[in-house]
Amino acid sequence: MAGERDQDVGIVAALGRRLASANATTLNNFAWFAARHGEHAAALDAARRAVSMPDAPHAALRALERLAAGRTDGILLAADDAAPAGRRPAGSPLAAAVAAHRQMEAVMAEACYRAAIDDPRLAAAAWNGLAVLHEHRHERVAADAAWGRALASGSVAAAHNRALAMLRRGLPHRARAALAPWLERTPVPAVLHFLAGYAALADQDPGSALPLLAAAAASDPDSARAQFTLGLAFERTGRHDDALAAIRRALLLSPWYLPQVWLLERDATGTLVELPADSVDSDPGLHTDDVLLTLGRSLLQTAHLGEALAVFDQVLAHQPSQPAALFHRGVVLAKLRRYDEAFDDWETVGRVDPGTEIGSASRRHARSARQLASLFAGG
Amino acid sequence: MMHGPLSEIGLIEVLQLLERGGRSGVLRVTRTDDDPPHLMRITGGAIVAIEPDAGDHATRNALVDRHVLSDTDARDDTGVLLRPQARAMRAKLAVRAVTTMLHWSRGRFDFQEAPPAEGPLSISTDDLVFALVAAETRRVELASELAEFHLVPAFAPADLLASGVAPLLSPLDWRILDRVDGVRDVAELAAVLDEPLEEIAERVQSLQAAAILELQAARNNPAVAARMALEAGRYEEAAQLLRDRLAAHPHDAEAWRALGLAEVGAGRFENAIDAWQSWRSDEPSRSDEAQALMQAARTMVEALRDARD
Repeated sequence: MAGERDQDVGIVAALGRRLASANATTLNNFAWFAARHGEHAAALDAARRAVSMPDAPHAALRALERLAAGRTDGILLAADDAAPAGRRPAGSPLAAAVAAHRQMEAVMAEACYRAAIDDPRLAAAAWNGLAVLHEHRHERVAADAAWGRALASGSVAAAHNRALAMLRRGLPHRARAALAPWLERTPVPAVLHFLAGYAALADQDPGSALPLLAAAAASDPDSARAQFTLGLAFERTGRHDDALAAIRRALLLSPWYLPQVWLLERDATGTLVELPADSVDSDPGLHTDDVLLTLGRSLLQTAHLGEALAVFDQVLAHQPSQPAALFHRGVVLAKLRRYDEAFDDWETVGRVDPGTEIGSASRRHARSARQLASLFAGG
Repeated sequence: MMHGPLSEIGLIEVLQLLERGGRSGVLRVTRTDDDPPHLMRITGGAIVAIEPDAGDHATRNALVDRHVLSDTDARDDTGVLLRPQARAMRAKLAVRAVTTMLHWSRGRFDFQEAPPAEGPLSISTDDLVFALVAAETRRVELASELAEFHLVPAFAPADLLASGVAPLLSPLDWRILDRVDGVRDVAELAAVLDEPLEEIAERVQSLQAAAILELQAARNNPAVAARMALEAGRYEEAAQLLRDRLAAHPHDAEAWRALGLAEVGAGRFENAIDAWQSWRSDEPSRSDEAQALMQAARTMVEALRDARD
C-alpha cells in the first residue's frame, strides 16, 4: 500500500510540474485529480492559482472553497468552454470570499481573499475583507497590517471599517481621528458621516454627533441606521420629541437593522455588501437599550402597539432575558390579544427575575394570560 | 397502433418505418415482463425523448457521476438541463440507450399514435444508423491498434510526465487519468467510466501521444491475463493467476470478484462465496451485487448437495 501511495505522490508532483503554466481550467481539473489522490496541499495550491486567473471557471471557486475548508469531495471538473466565473453573478475569488465571509466560513474566506490579493484589480478590496476577518478573530497585529494595505487605495469601505475597528476596540477617539480627514472632503459619503456621528456619540459628545448624523440621514433618508442613531443623539441632548420622531422614522424604515456593519466590496467596482458586526459590547457609552426601553414605553402609552413591539423586539434581540423589555412586550402582546405569547414573556420574567416587583407582577399577569389562552384554545 | 415481438421485427426496422412515415406517438419497448419499459416519444418520425434512459433524472445523475455537476446543483438548479453540457449528455445517453435496444432480439414493442409533442432530443434514425456504423468501424480499427483493447494504460515515468508543454485535457481525460492504475486495460477503463469504448480508446491514445500515459502489453499484467483466461474459459488458470495477484494485492476488489467467477466456472461454489465475501468487504458500494451472487452460489451449493443426497 505504501508503494501505491508513493506512486500517487510522484504522479501528482510530476503532473503538477508539467502544468505549472496551465490555464485556469486545467489547474482546476488538476486540483480535482490531486484531491482524489489524497494530495490536498497540491490540490489547494492549484485551486488558489486557478481562481487568481481572470478566466477562472466557476468550478475553481468551488474547488477552493472545499479545499480551504479541508474537504476533498464535491470538487467539479470544468470544460474549457465553461463560462468563466467572472461572467457569473458570484464570480471571482473576491466574490467567493465575501460570500464565505458572510457565512462566517473563515478559513474559506481567508483562502479566497488571499487568492484575490494576487489580482491587482481586486487586491485593495481583498485586503479590506481580510482585515475585517482578522478583526473578527481578534488578530490585531495581522488586522493592522491588512488595514495598512487596504487604506492605501483610498477605499471608502476600508476607511469606514478601520474606524469601526477602533470603535469596537473601545477607542472612539481614534475612530473619530481616523475619519476626520474624510469629513473635509466633498462630498462626504453618507456611511462615513454616519460612522463619525456614531463615534462622537460613543465618545460622549452628542453635540458633535448631531450634525454628523443629521447629514447622514439627509443624504441617505432611507437609512434606518442613521435615523435611529440620530434619535439616540436627540435623546442624549434632551430633545425627547425629536428623538421619538427619529426613532419612529427608523422603525418605519425597518424594525430590524443593525447599528454596526462592516462594509465589504465584492468586485472591482466597489459594490458594497454589509456584514453585520457582533453585538455592541464595546460601546457601553451609548446605552442603546435604555433609550429603546424609554421609547418603547412611550409608544405603548400612546397605543402605537406595532412600533412598541418592534422596539422591545430590538432590545430582546440584544438581551433575550431583559426583564423590562419582556414585561412590556408581554403587555403589548396582551393588548394585541396574543395571550399565548404574552404568557410566555411574563412567565420568563417571573422565572429570571423572581424576587422583584416586576417579577411578581409578571407571575400574576402570566396566570391571567394562561386562563385567557385556555379560553381561546377551548373556543 | 403498431406492436409486435422484437424477435420478428427489430427495433431498427420499427424506427425506420416511423421515420419514413413521419409518425408521431409513443413507442414502448419492453425486454421482459419484469423489466421496466422504455418509452420513446416520436415526433414527425424523430426521437424527441427517451424515458427513463435519457430523462431529466438520468441526465442529472450522469452529470453528477462525471463530476461536472454537484449534487446540490442537480437538485436545486432548475436551469441546469438547459446548459449545452447537459444537452450533450442527454443526447449521449439517448444514443446509448437506443444502441443497446437495437441489439435486442427478444422483448416487444408497442407504438401508440399521439399528437406531435416537443422533447429535448431530435434524433433521426438514419443519422443514428450512420453514426453507429462509423463508431463500429472506428472500434474495429482501434481494437486492432490496441490488442483488442487489452493494452493496459499506465502513467509515464515521472521525468517524462513532468516534461513538455502543459497539455489541454478534457474532463474525460482527467477521469481516465483518475482511473488509470496500471492494472485495468482499456476495455475495463471504458466499463468503469461508463463511456463508449472507442471514445476511451481514442483519448487513451492521445494521452499516450502527450507522453502522459504509456500502454503496456496485457501479458505483462497478471490481472489482465487472468481476465483473458476467464473469457477463454480457462478457469483453473484464471483462478491461479488471480490468487497470485491477490497474494500481492490483498485488497484488489476486482480481483476478488473475478476469482469468484473463476471458482464458479471451475464448479467450486464454496470458494466463490469466500471470494465474493472478500469482494464485498473491499468494495462495500457493490455489496448488493456481491450479496446477490453469493446467494446464487449458496443456492447452487444446496442444489448440488441435494443432488448428491
